[in-house]
Amino acid sequence: MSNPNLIPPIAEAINKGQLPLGVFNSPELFELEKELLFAKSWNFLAHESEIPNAGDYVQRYIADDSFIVSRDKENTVHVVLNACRHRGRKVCSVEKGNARNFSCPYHGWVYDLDGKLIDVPYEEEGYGKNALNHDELGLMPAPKMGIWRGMIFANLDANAESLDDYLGDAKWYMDFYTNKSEAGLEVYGVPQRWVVDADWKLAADNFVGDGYHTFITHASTIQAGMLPAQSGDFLLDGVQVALEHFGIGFARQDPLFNSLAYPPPMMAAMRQRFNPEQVSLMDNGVSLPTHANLFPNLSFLNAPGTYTSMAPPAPYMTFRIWRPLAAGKTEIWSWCMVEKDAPEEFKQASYKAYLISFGTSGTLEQDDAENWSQITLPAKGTMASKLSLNYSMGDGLLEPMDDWPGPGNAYPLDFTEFAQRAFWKKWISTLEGK
Amino acid sequence: MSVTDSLFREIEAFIYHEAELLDNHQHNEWLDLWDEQASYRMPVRVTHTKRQKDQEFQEKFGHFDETKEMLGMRVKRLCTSTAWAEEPQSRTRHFVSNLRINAVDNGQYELKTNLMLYRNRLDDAGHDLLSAERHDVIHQVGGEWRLLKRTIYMDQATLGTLNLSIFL
Ligand code: FES
Ligand SMILES: [Fe+2]
Repeated sequence: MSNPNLIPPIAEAINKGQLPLGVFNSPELFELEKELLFAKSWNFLAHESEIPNAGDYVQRYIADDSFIVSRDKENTVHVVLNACRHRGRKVCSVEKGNARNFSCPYHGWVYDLDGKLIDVPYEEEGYGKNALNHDELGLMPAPKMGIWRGMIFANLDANAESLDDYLGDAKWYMDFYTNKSEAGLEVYGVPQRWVVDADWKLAADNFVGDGYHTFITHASTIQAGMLPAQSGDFLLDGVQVALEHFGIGFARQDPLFNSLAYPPPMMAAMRQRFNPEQVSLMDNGVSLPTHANLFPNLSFLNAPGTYTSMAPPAPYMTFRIWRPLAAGKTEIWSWCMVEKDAPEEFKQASYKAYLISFGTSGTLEQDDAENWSQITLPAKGTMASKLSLNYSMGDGLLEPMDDWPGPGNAYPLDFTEFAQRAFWKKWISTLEGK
Repeated sequence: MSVTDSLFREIEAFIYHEAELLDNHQHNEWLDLWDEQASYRMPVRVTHTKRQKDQEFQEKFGHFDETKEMLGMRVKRLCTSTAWAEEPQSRTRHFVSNLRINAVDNGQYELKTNLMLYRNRLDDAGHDLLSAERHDVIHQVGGEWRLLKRTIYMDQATLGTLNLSIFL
């Protein structure tokens, strides 16, 4: 392994509620993250609605590893490494499509939709009759895969706990995003992809528990009208929940944020689907949750957005992956999610609200990424990398709420950093191999 | 249908003027060039095999899918002092070329242009370079040219720029 003096001082800082700025632009840490973190975590790859039919596939990534996520003729979803077993060529070089099988352009080995090797050209002449064991030469399946509510995940660690166990208590909260309607979610369109000079951890740190930044970072979007909050500090009177591997934020008083602008019939359907404890939040003036992050790099956002004065604000929802490309460089994948059984007008409105708020052209997204890149670039400085960042917000000030019906520790304010501190504890303990 | 030389020059001048307004950050003046029925779209492009190339551009899903009102909200935001992604502003240069004009019914003209967009920010010596083909529909309102429609076909599936806080 690399420099043995790398991790202990960072761990010590995190224990004291601090963080050295250098973690956001460190090639050494990046290599460790790939090996010890991304290769051992449950990584979100795709949503089942992206591959609805037999033969449908998408190409997806875990850090540098490319995978084919496909649906076979028996309707089973597979996640296999996109590397030919002969010389390693990518057998799939497109982002999405429908195929009968995958045929490698180099020497023509052919793999079935589930990755099984089905043909080797000139096999008898070149290898001898029955000399190649096809069963052992299929595309490599991801060591572990799992699907929860249509969300397809993979883990490169064969010894990892199951997806269900990993999600654990986070499911109580992820329900709010994924279980609003009978038919569940679908991806509207395709994920938008773009590359930013910012570290993936800054994005995760923001979505896991940064209710604090909105009044200044997103001030222009309130002024121009796309963010329909009464004031920019709409998460001040909120709730932040910290789990070991998950953090989430709710608003409380802002009336629009309470329903996130879902129309009454959809709110009524949610009440039917959510369990009584979940419904009790809605009865006690707590909003549907807005921002969240599942460790390591899957974020959620559900919020209202305004795109026209002719219609009320519409709720939009996005899932996003902060795919690490290099130290300080991230590819953002942003999915616009809608309820599959919602009326077409709702989907349209939700899409427009998403577009003006998040994604490549989203006005809130723009200002978020601008912050992250302006932290990442200076973070490699000799002096700056040692700068100790303050992560003490709420520490010693707030106690966990004792009447909160959900799992984890809930704090009666979203202008606080409990979920961020939990994220960093999880991050460092993962790099320590714990 | 082809157009006369003088009309070609007139439309070309309009398109150059539009690019100049963007490069000068004259966003309100730029917005005025748009018809009330404006449609400004940039479909998301997905890498497909040649056989499935007809699905390359998402019809229903874009990086932009704007009405005039949405463009107006974006411009309004850029005019505030807290639109951080454009504070300080991007330095852009819209290189517009390969103009092709096709006259259609109702006094409307379909234009195709190639766009090379240079973008530089802050004190960084590097730049983002975005390339696209634009399909526009223009017509005249009260003797002035107005943009009715623009569809931007990017030459990238994964966009190589921090955000789309600029217009193409
Ligand atoms: S590399 Fe795929 S067949 Fe040779
Ligand atoms: Fe934000």
